[in-house]
Amino acid sequence: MTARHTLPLALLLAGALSCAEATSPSRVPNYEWRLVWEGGLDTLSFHWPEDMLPVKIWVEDSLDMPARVQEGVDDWQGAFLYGEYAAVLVSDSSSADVVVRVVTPPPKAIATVNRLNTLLPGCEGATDLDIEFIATQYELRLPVRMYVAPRYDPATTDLTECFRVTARHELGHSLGLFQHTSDSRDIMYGNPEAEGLSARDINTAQLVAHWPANLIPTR
Amino acid sequence: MRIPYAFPLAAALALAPAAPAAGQVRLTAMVGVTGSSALVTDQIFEDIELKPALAPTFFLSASLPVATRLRASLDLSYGSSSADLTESGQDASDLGSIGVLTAAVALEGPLVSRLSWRLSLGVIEYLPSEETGLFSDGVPVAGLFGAGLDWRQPLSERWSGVAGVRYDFHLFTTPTLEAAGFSGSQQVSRVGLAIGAAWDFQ
Repeated sequence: MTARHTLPLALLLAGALSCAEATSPSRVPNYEWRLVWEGGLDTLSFHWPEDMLPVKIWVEDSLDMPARVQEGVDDWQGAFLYGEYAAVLVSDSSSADVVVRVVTPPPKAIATVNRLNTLLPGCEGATDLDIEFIATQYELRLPVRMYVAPRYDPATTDLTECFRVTARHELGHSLGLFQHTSDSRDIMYGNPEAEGLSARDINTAQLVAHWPANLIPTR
Repeated sequence: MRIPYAFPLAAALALAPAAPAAGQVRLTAMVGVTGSSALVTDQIFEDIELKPALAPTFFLSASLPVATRLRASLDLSYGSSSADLTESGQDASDLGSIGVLTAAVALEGPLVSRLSWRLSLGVIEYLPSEETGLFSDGVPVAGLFGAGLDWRQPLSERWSGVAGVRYDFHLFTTPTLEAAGFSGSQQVSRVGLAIGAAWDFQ
């Protein structure tokens, strides 16, 4: 066998290999995620900047909530292809970017807090976003505060799945999904019942992570 | 093209025949750099491209004559670099490092003067440092087609200096990309430049 014989064979093989063509997904369907600000004057989009990853989350050690939040973090991290989101649970709340308390959402402390509420049959949740317009930009004051609380006595009712769904939903708010959807199959549905992230949740989360953010996290 | 578990087999085949044919074997070791085209191209608001950075690469081969003016060669290469993500041409993030291991069988023969050609077929395996994101379910071994040119300068009876250029082509995808809706596979071309030495058994 010589080059005269092997070259055509190799070119034929290369041609066959090159037939395939990669096509990226369209990220459709998705839903509106941006926060409508002050009656429609503006819409705010947020994602964690790369230099803040991994996001530091402190979780009150009650009702096995750290495990539920960790499951939610794992789910959301799995939704991204390029490392756009990562989070770790930390033991010091003073330096945390997100603070999760196992308590009924208290009255809003200040007027600038924008609260997103969630209500399930067995438990409830809320995420507080403290947003202010400072000088030339919108700022999200950290930490983002999340609340998850039982509506029944957890000693007599197994609320594990309810906590799991609520933690996943509230984490969705913390990574920039600021609206509730109208589709009960989405984890970001107002009263979520989905056991996992929908294709719409994943598509939207990926869009959020690459959409130009006009809400900047500050401390 | 996916060939799960083929890499260990190919590597074993690549190493096994060298000893029995020791009387005619030529061992070549080279070091160089390899550049790659994008592993993934995507669009989320803006164009996204994931590409390994220039990778320091080691090349090893063992060859023996199989006909007049023709040698068969068994090749291994390994390189490692960062996996860089760019968004609209701007650096976006670094997805950790990624090792690239190849094993191939090749044919080589003289071209002109001290220049020789080579054509190869083999497998390529990506070894990301972090199994997250698009690498979270691993990266399947893929088939590889390669070609190259070597310049060989005799230094002594047994030793010669070698400078080579390598090109290879393969298709890249991962189970995570397929699950995310990517259809088909990304065509990936790599070019390597290397220098080294060859030792001929007498």
